[in-house]
Amino acid sequence: MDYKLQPKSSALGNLELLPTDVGDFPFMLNRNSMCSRIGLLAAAASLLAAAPALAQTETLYKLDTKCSIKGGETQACVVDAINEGNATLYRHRIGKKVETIRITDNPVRMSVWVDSTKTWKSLDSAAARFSTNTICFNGRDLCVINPNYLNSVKEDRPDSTAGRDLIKVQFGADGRIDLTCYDDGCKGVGK
Amino acid sequence: MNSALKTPWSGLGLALAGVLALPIGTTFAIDRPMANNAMSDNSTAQLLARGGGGGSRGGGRGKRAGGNSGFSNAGAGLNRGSSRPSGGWSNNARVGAGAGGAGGPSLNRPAAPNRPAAGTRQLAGAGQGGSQIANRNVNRNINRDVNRNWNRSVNINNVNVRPGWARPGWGVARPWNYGWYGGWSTPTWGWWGTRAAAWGVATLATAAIINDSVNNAVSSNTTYIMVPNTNYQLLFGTVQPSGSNSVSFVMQANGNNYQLTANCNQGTINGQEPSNAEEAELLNAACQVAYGSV
Repeated sequence: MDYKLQPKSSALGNLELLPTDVGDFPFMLNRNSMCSRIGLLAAAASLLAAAPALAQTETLYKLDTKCSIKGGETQACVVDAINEGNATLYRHRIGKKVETIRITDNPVRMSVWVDSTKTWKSLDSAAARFSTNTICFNGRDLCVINPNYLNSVKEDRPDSTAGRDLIKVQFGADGRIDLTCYDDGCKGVGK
Repeated sequence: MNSALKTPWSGLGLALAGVLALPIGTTFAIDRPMANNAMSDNSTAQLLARGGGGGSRGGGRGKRAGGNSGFSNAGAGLNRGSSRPSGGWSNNARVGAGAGGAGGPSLNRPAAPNRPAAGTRQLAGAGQGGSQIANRNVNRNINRDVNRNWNRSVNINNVNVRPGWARPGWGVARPWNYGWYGGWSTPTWGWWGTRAAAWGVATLATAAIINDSVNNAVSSNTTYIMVPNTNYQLLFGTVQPSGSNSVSFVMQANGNNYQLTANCNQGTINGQEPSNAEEAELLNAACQVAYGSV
């Protein structure tokens, strides 16, 4: 597993830095030079849009906790939660093994880093139980005790999580959520 | 600027500037209707919940339809989990054998919390375990006066009574160092022996009783617990550590809200030794919620 975060294009972020009012372009007063300058501007905009940039990263926390893989024995692990661009990466270090989960919002997508192919693969499912502070990805492929994650979810979604203990989500082939269930509504889901 | 606007190129310039100024969200708004599974993500559900669409009652004319669609909470149950919750991030998830962690990650429903061990002080009129519901119906013969030096100038509307950690599994979810508090004896409150004898009490409510009250409150989506043997309601979600061994919290009594602090090492409340057993119970309950083991 490459510990380095994946470079990510953030062209839209660059565009936000550009002026947004035509009054910011005094050269438009001169017709002769205007064409060439517009051309330069367009070229610059294209370059900005096409140039890959390292997404800004921010470490949210490092958590010493417990993990399990494929329903196996509980093992000590360390979770690094890192904001990278519009995603949050959860890097789970379990001994020498590293499992990285990437989660984005709007829409919610979750994927796992596949080191052999150097690609992100969409998850099939994820589930969380508040009372055990546990979240699992792809069935029981990777389970971790992460109260930080659940505290954040709880505060972000107070209405939908009020009185809930178990939450499951299933992802479709396009990586978006096909189904969300709670508590008794999850009976038989994902089995 | 006027001359520029009159030129044939001005339109192109404006269009280019317009593209540059295009809000990012505009792109998403255009993309969204093309996406599959329109009902399954939160944002789309919110669009539906706002009552848009061309229903027979006049959507589609730019007016927002009234009423609720019923889909406002139909979004994803999970998200990025990147918003910093109240109390911040924990660096160490200490997984014990108590509520909220049976030794390892599990999606199985945990066993019912253990009831208080034998020999603990029973609450008057409350059943084994001193549940919160039973507590409410107790006909208490207690002092209903509240310490006149306590601060009542708290606006409860500005207090977060439902932090992320105040949920099932709250014991492990507390994002601070916990587990060291053991009542009046651990660490020892210097004033305990003499005053407790004067008050005629031998013990305060046990950790198990207080934990059980919090568990019941969480299960019933209630924001407070009755402090054992008092007329005080502790808004347990307002408990926040202050330093390494103090705590701040909001308590309700006689219809008033009180913002208080306690030092769990020294056994003081608002900087003073408790003046009666009720205050000692309140101090003990707040310290157990903040720093007790589960």
